[in-house]
Amino acid sequence: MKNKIHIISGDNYSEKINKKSFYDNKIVKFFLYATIFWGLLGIIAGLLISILLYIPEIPEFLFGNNLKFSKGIIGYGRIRMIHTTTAIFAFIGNLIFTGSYYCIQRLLKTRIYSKILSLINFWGWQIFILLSWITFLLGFNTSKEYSEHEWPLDIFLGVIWFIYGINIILTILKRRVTHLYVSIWFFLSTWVSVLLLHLLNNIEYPISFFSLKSYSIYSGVQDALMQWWYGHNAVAFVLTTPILGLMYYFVPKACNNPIYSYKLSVIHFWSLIFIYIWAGPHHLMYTSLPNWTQVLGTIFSIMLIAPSWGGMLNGLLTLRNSWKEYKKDPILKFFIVSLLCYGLTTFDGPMLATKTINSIGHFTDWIIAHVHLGTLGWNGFMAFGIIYWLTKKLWNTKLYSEKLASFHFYIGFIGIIIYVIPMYCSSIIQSNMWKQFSEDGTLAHKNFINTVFSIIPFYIIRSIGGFLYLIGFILMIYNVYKTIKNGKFLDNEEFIVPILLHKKNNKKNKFHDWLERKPFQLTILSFLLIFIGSAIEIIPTFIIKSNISNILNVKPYTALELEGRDIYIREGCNSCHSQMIRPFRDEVVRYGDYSKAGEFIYDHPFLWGSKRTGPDLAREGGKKSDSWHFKHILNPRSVSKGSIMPSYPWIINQKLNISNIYKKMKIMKKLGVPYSKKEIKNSTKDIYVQSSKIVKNIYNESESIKKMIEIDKKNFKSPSLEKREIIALIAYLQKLGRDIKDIK
Amino acid sequence: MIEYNLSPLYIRIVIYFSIIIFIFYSFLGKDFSITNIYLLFFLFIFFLIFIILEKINKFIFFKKINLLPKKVKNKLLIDYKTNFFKKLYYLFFPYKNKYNKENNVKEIDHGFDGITEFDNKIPTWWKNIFYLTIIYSFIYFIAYIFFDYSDPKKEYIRSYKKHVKQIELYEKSKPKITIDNTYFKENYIKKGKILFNELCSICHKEDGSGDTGPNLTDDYWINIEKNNLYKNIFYIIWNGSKKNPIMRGFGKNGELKGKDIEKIASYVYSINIKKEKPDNVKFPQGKKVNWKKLSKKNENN
Repeated sequence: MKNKIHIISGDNYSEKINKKSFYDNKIVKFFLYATIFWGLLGIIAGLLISILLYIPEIPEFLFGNNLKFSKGIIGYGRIRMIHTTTAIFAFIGNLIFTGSYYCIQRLLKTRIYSKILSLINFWGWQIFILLSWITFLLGFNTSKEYSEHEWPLDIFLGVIWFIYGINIILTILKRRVTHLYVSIWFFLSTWVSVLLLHLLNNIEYPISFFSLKSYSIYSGVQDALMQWWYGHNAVAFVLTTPILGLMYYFVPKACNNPIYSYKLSVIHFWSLIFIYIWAGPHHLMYTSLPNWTQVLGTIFSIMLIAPSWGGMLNGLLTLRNSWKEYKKDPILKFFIVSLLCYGLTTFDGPMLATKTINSIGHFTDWIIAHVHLGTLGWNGFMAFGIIYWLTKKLWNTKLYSEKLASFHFYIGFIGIIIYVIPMYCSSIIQSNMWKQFSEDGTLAHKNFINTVFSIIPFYIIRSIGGFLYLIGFILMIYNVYKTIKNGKFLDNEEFIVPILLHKKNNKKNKFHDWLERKPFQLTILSFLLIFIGSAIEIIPTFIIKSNISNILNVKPYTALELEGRDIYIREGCNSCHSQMIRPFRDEVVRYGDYSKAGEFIYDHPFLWGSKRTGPDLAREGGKKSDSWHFKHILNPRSVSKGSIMPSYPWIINQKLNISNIYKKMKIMKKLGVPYSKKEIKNSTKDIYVQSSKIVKNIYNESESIKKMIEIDKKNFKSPSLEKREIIALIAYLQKLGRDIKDIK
Repeated sequence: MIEYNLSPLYIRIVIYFSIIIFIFYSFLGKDFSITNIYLLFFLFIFFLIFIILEKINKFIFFKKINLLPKKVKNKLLIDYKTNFFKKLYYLFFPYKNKYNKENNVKEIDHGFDGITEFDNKIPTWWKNIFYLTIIYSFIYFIAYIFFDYSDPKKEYIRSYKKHVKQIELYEKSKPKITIDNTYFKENYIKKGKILFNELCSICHKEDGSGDTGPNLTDDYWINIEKNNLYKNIFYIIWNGSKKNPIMRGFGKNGELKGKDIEKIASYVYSINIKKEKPDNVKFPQGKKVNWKKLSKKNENN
């Protein structure tokens, strides 16, 4: 785009018609179908895991005795990954593509640059999601939340995302409108930020070219910082900024009002992307992360209130002349509640980043409530509004039933309320129970499970909320289906190509006026802004040694423990068990001395977890006997009455695959774990020695296990206990926190 | 254009006071108290300054608008008189405002598919929230750099000391129960059972018949430290088992106090001396002990 060319604005261009062209609506339709399809599956997966929390026997019920041969395909941790990935990448991801492919063409008055790139984008994305379902169900994951995909999928995702960006940038370059609208600023900054986040967080070392297994190159504290820098900004740049971009197009379109304030959109856009990137460490408050990073996380989260609210304000004030119309129009209802939920979530978030509230909310259901207020309310309702509006537009017809859409709105709204409020209650109740001391100075609730019993009613109510939301979603599908049947779809929509004319600069706001006409400069500037915050937090954490003090006693995992750790990761144990004791009185009394940064230096990846559905395991080693762990994994309720942990009989049944142990240890050595050559060479022998010891312990302690295994061997010709996965897992659990405990 | 753009005094005072209090809070650390004399002095001075500034502002405002034509003046006066919250309400519900029918705001049109943008001013209160959060964060950061504000490890040490003091106070008022003065109490059995189920049953089963831990209802004992059955039980719960670290010292590591151990020990003692035993018990572990003989022997010595 040459500097001198300017736009003829608004009404003028109809006079100078010279050409007609066509918008590509087909690609929008594809993405629209995908959004609805994956949204449904994502919600169903979520409902399933919410029910599993209070009926953990569902897998036994489905598989019966065959559960132990199921290879863990219905393990809780795996389905949770599927739920988050489907909701974030599949539902919202496809929504972003739907909306952006629709509005970019119209905002730039040009057809999308390349049909082939669009199709690669579409099919690539769906294949990526399908493959992540398959790999997660088979137990391949990196354990890093929202980034659990293993390395080939990471590369694939990166390529597809890159292609999406190329496609929109090329479209921008052949645009017939000089200025770029706010939506497009948001899409560009989203694209470049997600690329950076995705690339840096997913640097992994595959154990071989033909294996899906890989290890994060970062360890412990650094990996944690990297992961939550990513995790937080996945929320920022996948669930927030692109949705704001969509909001800036679809809200004024649906209500036919001008945007309330151009200035506000400029200021809140730049402040939002600049400040958001800093706030990642608030996910790691009171952990072993260096305190200065935590402080940065807190203060930038607080500063984020106004920039976030800028988006809500601009949206709501754009809708303000239509308060009367919203009674008639269900789409506007969705938009209003969506924006209000956005405002609530972005107030809740900074509050959670303050120390006092974080000490209550972290590791509890507060986070679940916060996140779902955002996804169900802000993202979900925005998506529903857009889906209804687009269906009407693309199929050139009215909605099949406005009343049904209104009903969807109300049932979804009630669903959100029934979901969110019990979760806040459950959080406050449970964390108070954790922290409560009796007057003699001992914990009031000595057994963790008592605090779980008290919140189970809330889990049940939450499921009902989720179920109502699902019903609303199904009604929407029916409504959309009927509307499509009535309407007529145009693959290529005709439009008039405006001529670009010279126009004088806006003198008042020269710089931004210039920037709005320069897609590259705009993208580079937003990249620089997000880079500043990232660099200031990440680089010192990696370079300055004093951030992570070495503890001499901390030893690397033995070969068997390493294998056990991989099983722990495979089953997603870290989604319910934290490994991070915070410096609070109650946690130190309950679990042992608080966690130190130096304890995690050999953890590739870190496994601190973000939720404490079950007790913390950072110092689990030596607390229970080997046979206890065996029985607990086989059936948690046999040793811990009323436990809500699912049983994992397949871990007991399956043979441990140790064929990769040399490779794994070699790569760990490359990543900085001090294994000697002898250790690597003798790893299989070491595994045998350590596992025999554990099996001996188990048999000594429990005759029933011995009998069980003998019967098992006879009937199924299964391997001896020494060779099974459970022994590796027990070895790992017994190692946790042991190094520091043994000093004292 | 002249405008009386400030938020009302009562809101500004709350905001500035909270900033001042926050400064004191972050820099004084644990010595902070709301009745701190310096703080109160500061607040008083600021209060006076605000009142005076407000008067001056108003004075200037009225002086200025008197120079304007009547129409503009009236409009500004109405704007001035409208309550802050009412203005906020009008922002979201503009059609409720009688006086503000015409909208003189510029509409920007760059040909964005029919979407235009008003060139409205950014709402002052939004800006103020932004400034406020920046000021708070700045104070927070300075306090973190130069003082021990917001240090989790120091917070922990403080809470640890406080907790220890509380326990000391409690223990002064209540007699301490130790191995020397404990004895079997029948009325503790029920309470002991609750605690046993909560803490011990995961290894010993609810009926004490043993699972991964040994059977507690038979006469075989791995650890024989005292020559009285009840005291032996109390001793093991307090100190843990020397032979197996899994049986940790609940009293020694502060997890349980003597009184609770007494309850559990009473319960365990009661199920051990009971004649009816559970049906499925774990195989015997340790040595068979005849406690009567043992205690007699000891007395004779």
